[in-house]
Amino acid sequence: MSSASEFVMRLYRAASGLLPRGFPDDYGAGMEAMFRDEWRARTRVGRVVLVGRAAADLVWTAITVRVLGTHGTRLEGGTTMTMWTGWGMDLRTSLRALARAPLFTGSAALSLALGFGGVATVYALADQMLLDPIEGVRDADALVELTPAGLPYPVVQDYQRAMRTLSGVAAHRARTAALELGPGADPRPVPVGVVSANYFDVLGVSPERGRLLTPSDSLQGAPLVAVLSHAIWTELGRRDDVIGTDVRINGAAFRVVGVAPAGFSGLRLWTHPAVFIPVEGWNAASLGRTPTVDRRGWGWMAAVARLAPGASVAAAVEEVRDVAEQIVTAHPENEADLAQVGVVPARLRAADEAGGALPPLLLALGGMALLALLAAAANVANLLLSRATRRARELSVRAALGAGRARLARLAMVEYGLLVALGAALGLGLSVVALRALGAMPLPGGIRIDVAGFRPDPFYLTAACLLLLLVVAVAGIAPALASGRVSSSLAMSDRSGGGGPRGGRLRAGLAALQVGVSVVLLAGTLLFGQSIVRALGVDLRFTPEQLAVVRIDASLFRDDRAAASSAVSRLLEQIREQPGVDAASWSTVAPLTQDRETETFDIVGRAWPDRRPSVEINAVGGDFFEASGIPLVSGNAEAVAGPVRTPTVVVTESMARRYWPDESPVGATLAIMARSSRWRPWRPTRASTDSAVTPGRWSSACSPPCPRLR
Amino acid sequence: MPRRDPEALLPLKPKPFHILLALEEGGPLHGYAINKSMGERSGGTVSMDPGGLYRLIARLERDGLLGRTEAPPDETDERRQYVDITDWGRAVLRAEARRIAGLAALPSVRDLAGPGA
Repeated sequence: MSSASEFVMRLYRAASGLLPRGFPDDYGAGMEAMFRDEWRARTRVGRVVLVGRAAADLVWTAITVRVLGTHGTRLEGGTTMTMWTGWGMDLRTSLRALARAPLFTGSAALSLALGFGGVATVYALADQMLLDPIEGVRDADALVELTPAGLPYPVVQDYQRAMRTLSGVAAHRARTAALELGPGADPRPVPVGVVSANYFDVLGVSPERGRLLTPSDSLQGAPLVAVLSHAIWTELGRRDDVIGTDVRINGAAFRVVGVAPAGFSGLRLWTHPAVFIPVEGWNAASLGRTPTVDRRGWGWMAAVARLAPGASVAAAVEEVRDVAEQIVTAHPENEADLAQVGVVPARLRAADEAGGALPPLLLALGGMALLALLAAAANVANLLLSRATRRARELSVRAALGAGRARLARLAMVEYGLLVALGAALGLGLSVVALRALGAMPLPGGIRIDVAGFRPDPFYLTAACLLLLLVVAVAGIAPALASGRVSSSLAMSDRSGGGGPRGGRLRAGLAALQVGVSVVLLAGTLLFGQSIVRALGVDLRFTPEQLAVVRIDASLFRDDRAAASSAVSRLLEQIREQPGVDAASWSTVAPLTQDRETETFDIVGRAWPDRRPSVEINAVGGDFFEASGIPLVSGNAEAVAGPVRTPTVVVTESMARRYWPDESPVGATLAIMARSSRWRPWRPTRASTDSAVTPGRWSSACSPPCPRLR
Repeated sequence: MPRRDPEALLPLKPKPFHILLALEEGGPLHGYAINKSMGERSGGTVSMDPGGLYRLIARLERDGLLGRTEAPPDETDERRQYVDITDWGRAVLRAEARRIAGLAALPSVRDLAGPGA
């Protein structure tokens, strides 16, 4: 016999060790001889198959012989005692055993609950934020979003006309507006879904009542129409006569033509539009701030699309790039909007419009939750083994009285199954509480996490339950099987405890695993804490502790821009009169929030090798720097204090280093596309000697340079 | 020993039946020979792996249908374990054969099986 064959035979003999003690003694030689005969009778390929089958055969034989004996125990009268009889008795015995050991039951159930609760919570978050966040649409997996998110509406229409790999491209954007649900009703700020007429068609959404938007709603001179969300319709008592009535959005009347179905709440997890209107309708509801929605220079729309049957994301990316080039050729002013185009699955944009931040965060959280579950499982396994050691005498007595290994294993399985059920129930409770607590947690940038309506996911709950069952099955049943080998004489003596060297090694291994996982978790927690401490300790160069920020929703003033402006002025005056207030001002972006406004700019007199750069921008009122406490590094402090006289730009140190590395930016003139103006390319905003520089880091995550404009 | 009724064990499942049949016709046999005989007799439809076969042999041995026996003098592989059918096993096998033959003789069964059967 060749050495390879000899090796396989030795392997088979070693693997026979899996079989319960006794069985290989009786039949091992015969099995090995039969395997050898089969081996000799086969060719090379057949031998590979034989080895695979032999492995499966040994494992299955080991399991069945351990659990059932050879084939169940034959009783008198021809009936067979199998693993399916006597469950009720085992259940009662297990309940009594658990109740008699409250400390063990409590600690094990709590451990399981913590691990289970952590996994259920994190995976519910991951599922609803990344894997399956879009509800109420047809075949959400075929939905994609075009990147970047801020596209001019005419560009989205260009895509809709040109794309072949996408069966439809729709524009959508949620804008806050004042909604009045009926005559005399108080206006309240709500998210309004400003969408293209084909939006519902692309998403595959059917109306709950009435109709959804149609292409005729976007024609010039078409009446203003709106589709209510199911939530708002419910608020109105789910009356059918709501169809045909008017609601007011920022003072403009919109005729209700239909109701969106239950379960559909838009494409963003954090923003659920209360009402949907056609993009063209936003002209009437935008308080006069936006002259027209079809400007090619205003990138404000997100584009959602459906992959055509048989088309892949990769093919769509290729085509989007080609179409973008055609658009830029025809409309050079869109070059900046279409600098880096792409296509991503729509579900990845639901919770994180900018993209990129969530997956690593959730991956890290998911990893930590799994480790916590592993630590909990190791802890419980160790508890079970210790308990088995203490119960060795009881199990041996049962064995001596005639209970087979299968019966003892089943008893253990029932007992630990009950334990898992208890832990899972507690963990589920913990998960629900944790998800509610997360919902109530205030997040930076005004994100309302409760809007997402997080709830534990049945799939992950079942998976976590099965994992825990597997752990307790391995940890709980092994000692029971081992105890079946203890002789009855030992059972009656005081030497029955211990669990033997194998049990000791298992316990030591589990303890090592528990300590190892705990160390990893502890280290992770410490690093996380250290990161938070460092983040909190970042030198902002000003003291935010003495700042108070008031948010004002100008849309509540309906279409009266002058009234909004004078109300803000009056408010500022009243604030300034309050005792303890040194200064008050306004800005479009509050420091240390996630708010962003980005514009392209030009430095007058400088030629750019590539395209013009863009920066984050913040329009601020007089006294902003005094009120915020942000110091000026250089420049004319007088020029940026007090009432606005001339347009002045203040740039951050990081922007100064980037664009004026060897000189002072003070005195430079910037040309900035001011947001409130009509599209006039490169209206210069003078900044001459009034320019000043502030330290960086006063925006929360200001990686690009941040000029501040006033 | 109380008198036992072979009918109480019927019907036999196909694999025990084939094992007993192989031993009745060619016994005593070792595991590989039993498997080979079963395969030939069933046209390759009945085949077992060592673990499954010896688990079944253990059960049949426990129930007294077959027993261990000495290897023949010309056996060169001492690890091969030979088994042979017992009288009780033979009685059960005969009872099962009668049961099958009785079934096969039923006109409706012959009709169902068709002319080639």
